[in-house]
Parts: sequence; C-alpha cells; structure tokens
Amino acid sequence: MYRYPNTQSNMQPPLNPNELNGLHGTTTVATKFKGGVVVVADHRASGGTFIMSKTAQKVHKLNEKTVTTISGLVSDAQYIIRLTRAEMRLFELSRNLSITTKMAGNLLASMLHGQFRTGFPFYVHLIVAGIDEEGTHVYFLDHSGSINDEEYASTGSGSLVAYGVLEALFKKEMTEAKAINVTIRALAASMERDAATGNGMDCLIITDDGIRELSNEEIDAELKKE
Amino acid sequence: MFGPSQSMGYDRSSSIFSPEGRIIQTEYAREAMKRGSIAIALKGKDGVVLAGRLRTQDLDEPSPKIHPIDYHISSIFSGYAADGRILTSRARVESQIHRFTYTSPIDINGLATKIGDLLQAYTQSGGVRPFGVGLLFAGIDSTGPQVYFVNPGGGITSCKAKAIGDGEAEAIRYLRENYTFDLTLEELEKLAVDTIRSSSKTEIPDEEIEVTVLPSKRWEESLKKL
Repeated sequence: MYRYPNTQSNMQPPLNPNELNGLHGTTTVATKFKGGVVVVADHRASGGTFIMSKTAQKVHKLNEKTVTTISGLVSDAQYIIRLTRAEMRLFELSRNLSITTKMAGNLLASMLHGQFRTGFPFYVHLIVAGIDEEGTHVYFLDHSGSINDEEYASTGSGSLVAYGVLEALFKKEMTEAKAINVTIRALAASMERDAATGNGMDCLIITDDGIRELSNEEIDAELKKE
Repeated sequence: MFGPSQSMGYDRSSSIFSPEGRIIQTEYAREAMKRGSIAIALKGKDGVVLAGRLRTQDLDEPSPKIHPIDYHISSIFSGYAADGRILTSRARVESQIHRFTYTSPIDINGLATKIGDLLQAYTQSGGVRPFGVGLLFAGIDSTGPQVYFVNPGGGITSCKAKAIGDGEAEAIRYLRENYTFDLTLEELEKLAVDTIRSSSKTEIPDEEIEVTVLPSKRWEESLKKL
C-alpha cells in the first residue's frame, strides 16, 4: 500500500502530484502539422518498478476527429474519459450539434478544475488532440484544469526525453510524413531511456478525413528511415 | 362551489386513493396522454419502426416527434410536450449512465424500467402531479427488436405494436387487422404511416408524419460506439 507522506491522520490527504513516482510511468506525444495532428503513446503501465501491463491503451477516441492520451493514475484517467464521452453524447443528442475538439478539451479542463478545487484532484496529465472547424489543436491539460493549445506536447515520465527530441526535430507546418517520423522518433527515444515507457506504441494521424492508425510494420519502417 | 363532487375530492391529490382503490389524478394524466398527437411503435423480424403525427399551429415550425435516445433506441411520446421533454432528456441520461457504468449500451426493458420508476414516484409523493405523458421506447438490444410502453402511472408493457394519443382506438383497430411480426421494415414503415392516416377522419399530408426505422444491425453498431 502506498504510504501517504507527512501524516498521522487516518483521513487520506491529497497526494502531491510531484510525489507520484511509479504511478505516472508513460510517454505520450502529439504534434501538429499542416492539416492535422499525429498522436503516439506507448503500451506500458507501471507500478513502481513493476510492469503492470504490456498492452495498456493510452490513446482514447472522443469523436470522429478528436482523441485524448492519458498519463498518471490510470483509474482517474479512465473514469474521466468515460464521463467525458457520456457528457459529449448527451450534448450531441440534446442540442443536435456535434462537439468540436476545442469544446471536448475545455469540457475535460472544466471537470479537472472542478475536481482540483475539491482538494482531491484527478492525478492525470492529458493531451486532447484533433481537428475542427477552427483548425488543428494539441491541448495539454494538467490535474489542476489548465489547458493550453501547443504546437507539440508530451506527457508522462518519459516526456523529458521526448521533448529533447522534439526541440531538435520539430518544425512548424511540417508535412504529414515528416510529422509522423518526428513524433515516432520522440517516443522511440523515451522508450530507450525511460524505464517506465515501452512495449511498443500506438500511432494515430488525425486529418479532415478522420482518424487513421499506423500498423506496427509502418511504425518500424519510420524508425529505419534515415 | 366547494361542495362534494362526484369524485368526493379524491382527485385532488395524486397520493390519495379513492375508496374504490383508484388514484384518480393518475387517471387524469392518462387522459392528458390521449389528447396528444398520435404516436406509434411497431416491432418486426428485422427491427423497429416509430411514427408520429406532427401537430403545428399558425406559423410555428413543427417540433420533432421522434427523439433518438441512443444509437439503438428512439422514443416517441404523446401528451404534454414539456413533460415529455424532461423524460426524453432523462432517458438519454440513463442510457449514458449505463454506458458509463458498464461500458455497454442499455437494453430497452432496462431503460423503460428506469423511466417507469420515475413516473411511479410522481404518483406516490405529495405536492406533485403525475407526468401527463405516455412514452414508447423502441429499439434493438441483445434480445432482439423491442417496443415498450410506459404509462403515466409508471407501468411498463412490452408490446408487439402500440399506438397512443389522439385516435389511438382507431389506430389499434387498424393494427389488429394488418400487423404481423413477419413484416419487412419497408412493410412496417408503410403500415405505420397507414395506421396514422387511419386514426384521423381528415386527410393527413405527408409532411405531418414523421417516421424512424431502426434495423436490427443497430445493436451491433451500438456496441462499437463510444
């Protein structure tokens, strides 16, 4: 059992998210390119130094052109994604309008902030990425409910490694092919150097045509390119 | 003016029985249901069909008669539109709560029971009136095509074919003569329209009839939806 630090009380105080070692083992990366976004995530779920799952699903579809990646406490993340999907569907049915990427991102941010102010936040970092009538979005959301639209973003214990690669290789308005390669390389680097990241990856490309998923063979081919 | 009436005042509260064991307010609610424009739901071997008559006055735009609840369920009601709107909204919430809790779509009986529970509560509480609507829930679940009728008292009935609202007696007479379970969806759709026409002494133009067809494959599709 996890010992809550600095307390004798039986009531469990909120964890300090910075002390969540072993619960946030993950790397997810999303980048914008001209006309779409690329989203990648590994398959490893860790608990301390133990690999809890080798087939964890960290990219979740929210609608035809929006996905979210999860990192942090898996239960919290899965819970708010289920809740978001239900809220989105109810909105669509009652208003007869579809929810855009921007709306989905801000809906999640509102839920995270509401929970944060109760004193028991969801221990998650999320990326909400997709395309809507305003263009491409890569939103980074933290446990406090902040939301920022970035050119590229990464979450999880391996995000520092991924950001290193992105800082060197990312260019604004890249082609789709270039963006796929850069994003996969960023995650591949953190799979090499972060112990809590690994066991293969998912790679999704979202354009105006919808969501396309790369096969394992296509991902391997990207890594062999010069 | 306030002397004893025929119902001896037992119609003044929905939470009081008359000496004959009737809850007269609930019976009045059923009358409200019968005054609404006609609503029909039919089940056949290949799916379900819902149909209703749109009633408009002056220069009002017609409001929709059939309401999607989930990918595999639609509902139609007859009676007070405002009461029906609340119950339609509640049915959508219940279907999303089911998806949220079990990650699977709700069954028609389960949904009708949830709404029936709510309607029943309004026949046994003080200071409230019953809902002045009857609802039909039609859809497909793991047990096949289903049609459920929920009456204002909260009772639920599984039906092969049902008509509620203005002209329901004529419509049910027409259905008794012409309905069989073996009809194709095209035949059911035509039967639904003909039944609505049979319920009225005056000619009903096409634009006053709304029809929704849910084929059996909707269940498998609904399982794959978020």
